[in-house]
Amino acid sequence: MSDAPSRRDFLVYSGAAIAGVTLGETGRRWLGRMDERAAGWRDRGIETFAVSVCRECLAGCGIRVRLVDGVPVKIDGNPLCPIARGRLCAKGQAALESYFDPDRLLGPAHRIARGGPARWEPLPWKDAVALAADKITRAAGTPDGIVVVAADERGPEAEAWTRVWRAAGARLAWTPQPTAVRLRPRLRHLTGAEADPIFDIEHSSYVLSFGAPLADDWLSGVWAQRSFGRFRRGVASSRGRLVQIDGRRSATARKADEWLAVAPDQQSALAYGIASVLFRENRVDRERLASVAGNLGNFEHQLLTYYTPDNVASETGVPVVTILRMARELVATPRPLVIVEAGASVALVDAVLSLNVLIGAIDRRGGLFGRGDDPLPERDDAAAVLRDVAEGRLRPSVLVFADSSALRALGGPNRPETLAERVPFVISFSPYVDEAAAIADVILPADVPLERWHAMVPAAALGAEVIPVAAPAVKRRLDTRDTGSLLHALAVAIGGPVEAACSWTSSEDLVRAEVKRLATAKRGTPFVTTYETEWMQQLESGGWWAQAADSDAAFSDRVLASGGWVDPYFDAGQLTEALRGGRSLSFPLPEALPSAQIAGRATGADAAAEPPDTRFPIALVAFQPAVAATSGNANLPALFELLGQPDGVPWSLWVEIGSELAERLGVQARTRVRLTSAHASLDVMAVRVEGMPAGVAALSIVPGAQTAGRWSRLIGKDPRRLWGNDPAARACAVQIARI
Amino acid sequence: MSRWGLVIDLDRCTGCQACVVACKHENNLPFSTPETADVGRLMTWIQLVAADLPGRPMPSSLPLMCQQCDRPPCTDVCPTSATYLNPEGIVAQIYPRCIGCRYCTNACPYAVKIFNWTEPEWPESMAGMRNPDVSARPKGVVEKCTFCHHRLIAARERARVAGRELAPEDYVPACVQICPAEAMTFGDLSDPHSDVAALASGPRAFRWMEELGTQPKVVYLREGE
Repeated sequence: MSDAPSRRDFLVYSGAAIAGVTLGETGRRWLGRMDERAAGWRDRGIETFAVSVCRECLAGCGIRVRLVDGVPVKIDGNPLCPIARGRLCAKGQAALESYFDPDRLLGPAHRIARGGPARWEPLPWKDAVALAADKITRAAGTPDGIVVVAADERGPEAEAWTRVWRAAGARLAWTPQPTAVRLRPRLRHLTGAEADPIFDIEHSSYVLSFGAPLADDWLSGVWAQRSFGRFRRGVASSRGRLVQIDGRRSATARKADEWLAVAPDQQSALAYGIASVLFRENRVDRERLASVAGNLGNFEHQLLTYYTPDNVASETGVPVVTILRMARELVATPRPLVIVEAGASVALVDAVLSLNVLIGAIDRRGGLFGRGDDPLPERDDAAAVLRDVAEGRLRPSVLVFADSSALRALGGPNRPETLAERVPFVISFSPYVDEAAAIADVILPADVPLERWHAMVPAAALGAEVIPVAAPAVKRRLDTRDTGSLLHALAVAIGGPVEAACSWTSSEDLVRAEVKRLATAKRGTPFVTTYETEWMQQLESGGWWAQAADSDAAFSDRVLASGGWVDPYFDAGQLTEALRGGRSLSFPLPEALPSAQIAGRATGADAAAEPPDTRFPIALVAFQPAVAATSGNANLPALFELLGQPDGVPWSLWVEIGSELAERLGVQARTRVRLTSAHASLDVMAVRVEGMPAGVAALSIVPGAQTAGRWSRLIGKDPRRLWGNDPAARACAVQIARI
Repeated sequence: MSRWGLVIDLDRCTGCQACVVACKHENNLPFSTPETADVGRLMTWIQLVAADLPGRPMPSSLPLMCQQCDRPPCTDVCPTSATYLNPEGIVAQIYPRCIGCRYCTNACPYAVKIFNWTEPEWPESMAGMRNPDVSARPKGVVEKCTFCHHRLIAARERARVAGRELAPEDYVPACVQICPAEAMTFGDLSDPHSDVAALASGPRAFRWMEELGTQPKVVYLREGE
């Protein structure tokens, strides 16, 4: 056999060589492509976290946003925030739905024609701002000029808002903070101290609550829930006892060890009745009280004269033996505390604060403290101002809304569309298709909370001073602007003193200026762990302060990275100090029973005081479920699913009625009833509640408007129309019939 | 081997439903409508139910999710082994195996297994908010609480990369993480030193419908003294 390659061998080897080179190249290319794809995979699914601030209510909880590839997918509490401590309520989490809301405004718009169904047309920012500025400039000279409405947020953005509108000559009105309505003014009236009341629920051993929704959304929702949990089981060996006085079976009443069903207008009588028993049975320290209160004798005399257990029992329906027992229980535990709903009547708040003085709860662990602040400026209540506009007593040329909070308030105007009829031009800054946008002529949509810069003063609940601070957590999704830029653009377009009042160009400027101020304050710290916060508190109590960073710039960076700033120092003796001036405590002098004389107008006393109308025998009390009480977006489907639970009525309004009435109407589970007042009628689901007072029903109020977002439209009813022309009254008289 | 369990202190729980929303967002549960809610087809893996508990003057609010039974009636009846008790005590659900017979939903005494009557849908703008760690379940299969099992997988991977053992704080379901009242405690029941084991064997501990012998690993602590 010859060793020379044959023709066949040549073809095989050369073919193999060509195939090898070709396939090798293809293989290399294929591998290269796989490498590229793998590199792409490595850059996908990247998880990051950003801090921000929840703005669904005024509590200002710090939040932590989980982002995957820069897109937010989950919101949790910021573990370093002293308010949230890593936890969050349902509303706070639903802010994620606000960011992605399919019904968010895409950009600025103006109404095509007034009257009829609302129709808008997109407008470039420049034109929208020019239109708004022109109307504002023209309105400046008119009698009632400009009315501007916003939720009472505090902080640099709110100050900028105030400065611009004051310079424009506008009248400002606010949806008030929870403590600002009654608690703070009445505490000042009682003690002379200019301070927010701080209730130390967590360390109390016994809480007597007059309608305070402690387990729902009281003062600062997440703080209240955590306080409740720790009050119950903070220390393994002891458990706090809760007694709830409530007109309805609220979530707090459900959690209480004892629920006493007492209508809101009768609760002050019960509180004074308990105080009267304390005096009768010598369970108060008269010597101590006499040293601080100038009118102790008169107070005692009034109580013992009018608020005998027998009188109070006949007024409230609470048995004498129960009143006696409650008074005795109150002073039999080491750290009792009496709390009250933030919006309760003056009479009830006065009675509750007085009870706290009598039981020695002032400036005591597990008691009531004051947290000092500068005196708050007098502020107009937005709901009252809007009622004046709706009823023609106030005739502004321009009405401006920062948000829809005032239009959702229980005491607000029942028919927002009348505002548009009365006012020639309405401007809305809300980024949502909500009640304000529905009546607006021009919409200048601001960023949603996840897109915003934040620096705000939260609603008072903690002893510590807290300012949550954050940069935008996510990219802006739509054609919106931050509030600072919007105000700047408006101010420049208006010109003159308004432009001169505007020293910033964006919200970032405002927030960075605030952070700079904090850096030079020589107190407090960026958000740190609980342990470090307590250590700082110890230091500051001793007159020391530890600088958190080497430079102001580094300090600012730490504040922004951690989500805020806290000064944990707390003067726990502020109320005592205020009283030390000598007999400066002034007890309210309650008037004689019956309740019509002692309860304030806004508590439902209206219905009780009016002569009974046989057509409408039921007093209907309104309440807002915690998950529905938001000043931000109301188009949040996850929250609508929570309504009416655990009674099984999600996605709907419901009315709670007592067993006697339910029996009479034949109400079983999921029965629909019709509520009829002198002004309107409404069909809702009825829920039977054992122990509810006879002659009283409670109706849920949920933001839901035909003009709002797709989910909000599914609720689609505004039950406040039952109240007709008296929206400030909490109760109205109705007839209930089974459908 | 860990044996995961959850303790819910009803004395602390306020019924705020923060856990319900946390679960919804974490596990990509689609939104309902009034119509679907009306016919009892809310897609929630945790729901608040009214429960008459001894010693309480009125019905309590009980957060109810899959009880992760040690003797689960649902697994016994599954013809395709789509649902089974995994070695760590989690009642798992393999969606591609599920044929939608709903035997398990009928067998579950807690009524916490949910059938997908429709394809899960979100408005277009909301597609981005879905958690990429959790797949959406198609129409025709049964789903339920998994103790956020995807979090366990991720935590275990992170621990492996870091070259250490899984620590108790590494793995926490979304509901436990969010609870504002600090009412939920999660952990390894087989670790006698864990908080969850101590609470689950305490005097206030009880299992919901424990008389059925399902041996749940969700343990409630009763309200009251």
